[in-house]
Amino acid sequence: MMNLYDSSLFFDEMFDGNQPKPHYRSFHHKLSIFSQEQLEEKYRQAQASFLRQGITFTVYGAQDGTERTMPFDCVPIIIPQSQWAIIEAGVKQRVEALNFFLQDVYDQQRIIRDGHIPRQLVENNPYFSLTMLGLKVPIANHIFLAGIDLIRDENGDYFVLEDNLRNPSGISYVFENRDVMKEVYPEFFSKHTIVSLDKQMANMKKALLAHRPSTMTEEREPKAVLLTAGMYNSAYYDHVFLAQHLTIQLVEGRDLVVQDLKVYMKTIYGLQQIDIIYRRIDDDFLDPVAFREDSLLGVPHLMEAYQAGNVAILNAVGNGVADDKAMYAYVPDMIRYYLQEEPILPNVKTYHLKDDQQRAWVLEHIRELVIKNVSASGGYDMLIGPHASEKEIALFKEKIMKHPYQYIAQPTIKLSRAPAFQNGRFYPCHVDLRVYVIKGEDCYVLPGGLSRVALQEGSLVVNSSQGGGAKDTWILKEELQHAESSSRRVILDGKV
Amino acid sequence: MLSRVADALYWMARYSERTQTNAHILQVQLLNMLEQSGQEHDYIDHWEAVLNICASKEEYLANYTAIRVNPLIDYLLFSEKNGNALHVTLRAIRENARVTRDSIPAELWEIQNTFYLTKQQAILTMDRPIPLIDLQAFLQEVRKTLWMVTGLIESTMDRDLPFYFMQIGQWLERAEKTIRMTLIILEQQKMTRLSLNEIDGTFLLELSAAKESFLQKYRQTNLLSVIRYLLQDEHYPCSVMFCLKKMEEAITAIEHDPLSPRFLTLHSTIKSFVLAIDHIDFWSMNVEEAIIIMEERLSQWIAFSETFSTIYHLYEPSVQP
Repeated sequence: MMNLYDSSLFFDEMFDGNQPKPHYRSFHHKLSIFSQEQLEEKYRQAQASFLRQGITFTVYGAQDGTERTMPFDCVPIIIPQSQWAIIEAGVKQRVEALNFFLQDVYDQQRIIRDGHIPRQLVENNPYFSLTMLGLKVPIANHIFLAGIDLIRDENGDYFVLEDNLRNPSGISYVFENRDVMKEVYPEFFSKHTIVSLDKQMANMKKALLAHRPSTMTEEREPKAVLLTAGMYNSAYYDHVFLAQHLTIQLVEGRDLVVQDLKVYMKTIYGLQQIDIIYRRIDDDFLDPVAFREDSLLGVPHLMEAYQAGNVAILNAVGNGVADDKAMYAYVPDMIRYYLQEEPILPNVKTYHLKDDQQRAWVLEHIRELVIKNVSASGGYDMLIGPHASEKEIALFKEKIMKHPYQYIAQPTIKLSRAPAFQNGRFYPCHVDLRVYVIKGEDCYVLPGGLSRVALQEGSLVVNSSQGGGAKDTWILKEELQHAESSSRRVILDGKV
Repeated sequence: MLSRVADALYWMARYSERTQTNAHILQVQLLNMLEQSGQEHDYIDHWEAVLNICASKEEYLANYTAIRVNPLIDYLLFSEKNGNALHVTLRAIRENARVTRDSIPAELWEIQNTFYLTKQQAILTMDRPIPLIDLQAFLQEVRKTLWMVTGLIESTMDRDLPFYFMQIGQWLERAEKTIRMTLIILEQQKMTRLSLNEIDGTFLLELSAAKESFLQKYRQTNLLSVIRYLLQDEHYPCSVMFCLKKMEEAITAIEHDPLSPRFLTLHSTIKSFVLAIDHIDFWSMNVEEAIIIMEERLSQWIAFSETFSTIYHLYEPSVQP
């Protein structure tokens, strides 16, 4: 049923030539049994299921209704266990090093003194937070949840594209994608044993509650809440999902109040003290007294309570200094410096444009490069050289000359592709993978993560706000995968 | 429970109840209109009563020059200028469900969300004036959905704080509507010289959806017996007395301690209201006296809902229509 496309142009997740790769064979066989009509019907069911459940995100400034479902694609990304083991170790290593960096940069700043990172890169960074200097955060952990974005090049090698250490969103989609896959495409699961997501929320809760504020007495159970910007926030569904599954209250800034350097929430019976805030609003909006005065989302004097050690804020304030696109280039150095290890997952080569030599080279080769604003996200303020018009190129050259420190350049990677079924046909789309790392006293990696797909044919932008969609991600349990005669294996279509 | 969440649940229940009643009232009047003569002025009195029960005549007349049927229907169902238009209260239900979706059953949210995204959006795009048959079908759909919602709440929700705050919202709204309906029908009879037991009470019975249950117990549909039924009957679920009993149950469940100041305040208010309703002797009253009594009860009732909101630190409705 699947019309083949030329899979040789890019690395393809599923195909080698016109044959499915070994770990996709069984899935490919199942898929080929369905008719086009059946697949279209299933596609409609899946989208309707997301809409009914209100699993939507908000597009800022969109004209035609602001709530949209993320387009879901039924062809999963399948990753063999051996490959996943490398990814898992690689992202853990990275998050460990980044956490050491955050501890250090807000304390002794050894890494700067030892000459590994330029001081001005830290101090000029808009996310570098002076209020964090010298502050001891609970269990010395700045990163409760990280989203590490990975891509694969034309050889299928994984690279880290971006670290998200502030408020990475999308974790709910990992679970919902799996749920809708089980609901609408149960047939695909037979003959596969994949790593389940069931226990992950328990790990996340354990990690969350490990962040006991320093002044908290032993006998008290910590009370945690999730602080949201409210239902008009683009990631509101993510917040609802997490609050529900972590069984914590979903609060807005106006539900909280600070008295005597302690944080309370306003309940029907009066004020109740809280100890841990998993916040999903940006630093700037947390506290109108400490940061932006005009913030209506925050809680006045929250930072004072934080500094007094009476409340934990997760992720910690000031993490942006470690995850912007300019600092990204130094993460391999951080790994070597703090862990004395070689990075398991490589970075994409990054050019710093304030360096005269590098800038000159970049301006000359701009057509082959990707230019990114170091403090933008979501695919905004970005130039993809090979696809850009003369006008866009001229505009970006001007921007670079004006604010060289604001931009970086990277080679255009031939992003890997995977087939997607949309609008009644299969075609290849570029994909990336956001892997979620959860850190408390232990470090957990959510098996799989969010596979994002650029559904516009040829597009490289996977962000949901710009036409991107999502796929389920399967991590195979390798040892069972080839154990054909295992009697304990239950197969969904009833055959063993 | 967060005050904001309690507040949103309370308002979700109130809007849900309001929408249900208003949809019923509109259905009744749309059908009545068919039986009355083709002359608009014959049934405009009834429309005026409906307008006053479901919204406010003053607000309507601030936007329109006269009471005419088509603009009125549009005002009561779809106008953004009317905070109690069906479309607006339905949206408020959904928005309140959306901010409390971690406290309510997932199915409850899904029913409300689906209705909003399909049926409600569909009728908005229809050409005006919408044919009567489509209007009726939509109103029926609204009511059916809300029955389903009520059933789901009743049968699946834990008997815990979210449930009881929704209960309070529902019973408060219901009793207030019953009192208001009675008052407005009485006001329509202001000029009459007839006594309460000589005036026909069928219209009030129909509006309050009490006809079936009333006729099983009584044969006379005079206004006197209808009003007594709507206020004082202990078994009819829209009577003020019934709502008071239900609220007493909910308050007792919210406040485990019968000596807490919160409980004592609310409980004594309910008890005195029960007495006040029980002791009204409509036999000895003419229409004007009955109007005064009902006006008093209505403002007492509104004061009571404000007391409730203050005691539990409820906000202003977090999502106002």
